Amino acid sequence: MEKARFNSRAVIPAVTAVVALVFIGVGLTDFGFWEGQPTAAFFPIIIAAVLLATSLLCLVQVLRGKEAPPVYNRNELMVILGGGGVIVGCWVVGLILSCLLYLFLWLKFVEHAAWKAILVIEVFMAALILGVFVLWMQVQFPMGLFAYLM
Amino acid sequence: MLENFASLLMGFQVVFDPQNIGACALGAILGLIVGAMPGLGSLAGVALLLPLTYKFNPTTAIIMLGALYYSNMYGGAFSAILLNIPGDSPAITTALDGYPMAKKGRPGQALMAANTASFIGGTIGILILTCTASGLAKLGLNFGYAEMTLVLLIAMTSISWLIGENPTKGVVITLLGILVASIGMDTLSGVPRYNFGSIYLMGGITFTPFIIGAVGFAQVIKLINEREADEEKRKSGTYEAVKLSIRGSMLTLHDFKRILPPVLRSSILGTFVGVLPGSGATTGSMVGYAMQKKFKSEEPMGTGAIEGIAASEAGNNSAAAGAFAPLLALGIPGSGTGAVLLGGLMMWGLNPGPLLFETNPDFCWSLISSLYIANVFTLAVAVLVIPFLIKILSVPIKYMIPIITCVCIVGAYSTSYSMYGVLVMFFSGIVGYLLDKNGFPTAPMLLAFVLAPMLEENMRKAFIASQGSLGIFTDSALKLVLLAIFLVLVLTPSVKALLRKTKHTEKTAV
Repeated sequence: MEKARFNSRAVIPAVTAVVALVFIGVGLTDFGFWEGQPTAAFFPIIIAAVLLATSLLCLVQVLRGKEAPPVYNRNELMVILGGGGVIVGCWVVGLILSCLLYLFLWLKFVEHAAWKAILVIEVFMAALILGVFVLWMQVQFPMGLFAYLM
Repeated sequence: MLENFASLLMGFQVVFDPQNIGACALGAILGLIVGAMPGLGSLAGVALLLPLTYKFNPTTAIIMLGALYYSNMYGGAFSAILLNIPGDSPAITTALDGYPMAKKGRPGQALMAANTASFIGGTIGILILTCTASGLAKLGLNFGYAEMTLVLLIAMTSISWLIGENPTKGVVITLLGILVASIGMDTLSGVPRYNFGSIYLMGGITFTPFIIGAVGFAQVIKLINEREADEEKRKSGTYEAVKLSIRGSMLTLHDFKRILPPVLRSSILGTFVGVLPGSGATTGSMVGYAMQKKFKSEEPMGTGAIEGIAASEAGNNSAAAGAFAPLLALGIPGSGTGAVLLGGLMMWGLNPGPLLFETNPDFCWSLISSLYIANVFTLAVAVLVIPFLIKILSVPIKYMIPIITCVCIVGAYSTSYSMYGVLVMFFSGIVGYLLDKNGFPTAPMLLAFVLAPMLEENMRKAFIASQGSLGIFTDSALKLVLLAIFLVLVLTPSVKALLRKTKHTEKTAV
């Protein structure tokens, strides 16, 4: 008999099973299921119960299956870290500056792009954010710590 | 029928307002550009451009969204034909013959064939939509809570089965989408639920940032893997910059005669495929292409046959039009992009469903007439941009990654006016990426997220009306038919798997 393999393909149904259990538990504890009529948790509990069953079925299928585990690479993590960095930067230097700073750092140090390309992209994005979102749609983006200085 | 065309004329009067025409043209241009960008596609395109519509009134916004959606379908063919990278899944079959035809030295004609087929397919699709949409809505008016619950269950189940290779994974993701949608204020009782003490979660998971993340940001994370191949191509000199002119791209009379029969066949079939919940443009193009294989082509299919491009493009554009019928008349989106459109409609306070044609006829018919206008605009833009679009297509992937990341962040903030929206976008992006990486399709989650509130409302009202009795789902012939369809959809994959297993056991025993 082939040994079952636990990889990230199996993590997802395992996590959804846990999510289902949380929804059932919280729903039953806080709201109940039926009190003369359906409660607020009536529908989520039914869905969570079916999710629990299908997640377990899916977990068994994945463990029995012969699919190779997915390969993750450093570059994908870099994109996630980059996105996270912009968000952290929003609280410090504000959203617009954080985006422009990220663009510069990414293009210069990750992509080793030429100065001309960096300048064109920076100007294009600044025009897009300021022109479309700030002036046209009148979105007030967070200013970060600069908000305290102004 | 005549009544429909009279309403359509009324719709045209609304659309011909300068602001609406401008929005339609802008949507057509932006949709074409975004749809043509490799790896983005219509779903991500519509999601990313959704914030731009916030500035307009509901009718103008939806006209722009419709044009965006429609032109995205055209755009997908550009990168499929010129770079062999389908801009979106409906363009996969276009690439099968489009790229070989471009390689044979006829890229302009391949693009023009795709544009012509898209235009004819789209027009036929919208004509059929004009004739059937209000009829479908009238039929829908006979549906009560129980019937709507069953229809929504059928829609969700068929979506789960149709998308992805493993139905179980589709169901898991659909159910997860429903649970995510149930976080926040319960609309029927006004009680906050599953917010785990957070004031942000009390308002629920914000729709647009969630979609931008799960589709747009997740796509950027995946896109980085194509960056190295793109760079290698450019460095080794195998990357070919194509030069095209409009005159050099015109179809000959012989070409036109070749594409007309497959276009007509695929358009009619595609529209009906589009009407089915869960099928959408991808199924439309695949069915159209598969059907063309049964007919004679001047060149073998897959080797640059212009008939293949025509069948695929007519199929996907007509299906895109057909998908509006269940979307407007029953409130059921046919695809992930349809779900984003439905979310957009709801954001504007419009509840698609049988009553929409009664309560907002001007809106419904102006949207349908805007599709005609969008189709004409997109054709004109698609032909005119042929020489320029090549430049956009040649933007290196390494530059697109940080640009799209910034667009996702700015878009998420501008739709929620809060960093909470940006965080929702970021985390849903990571979840979308992880799901895709592990073979779980994300489209059912988006569809379920949009449909869940409707399903819950109908199901709870049905149970309140019946005082908890399940009999409410079986007390009429229509309900029994719907229930039977639902059960068939639920049981088919299990029965198929069982039959496969039995066959396999019998074979090994022999």
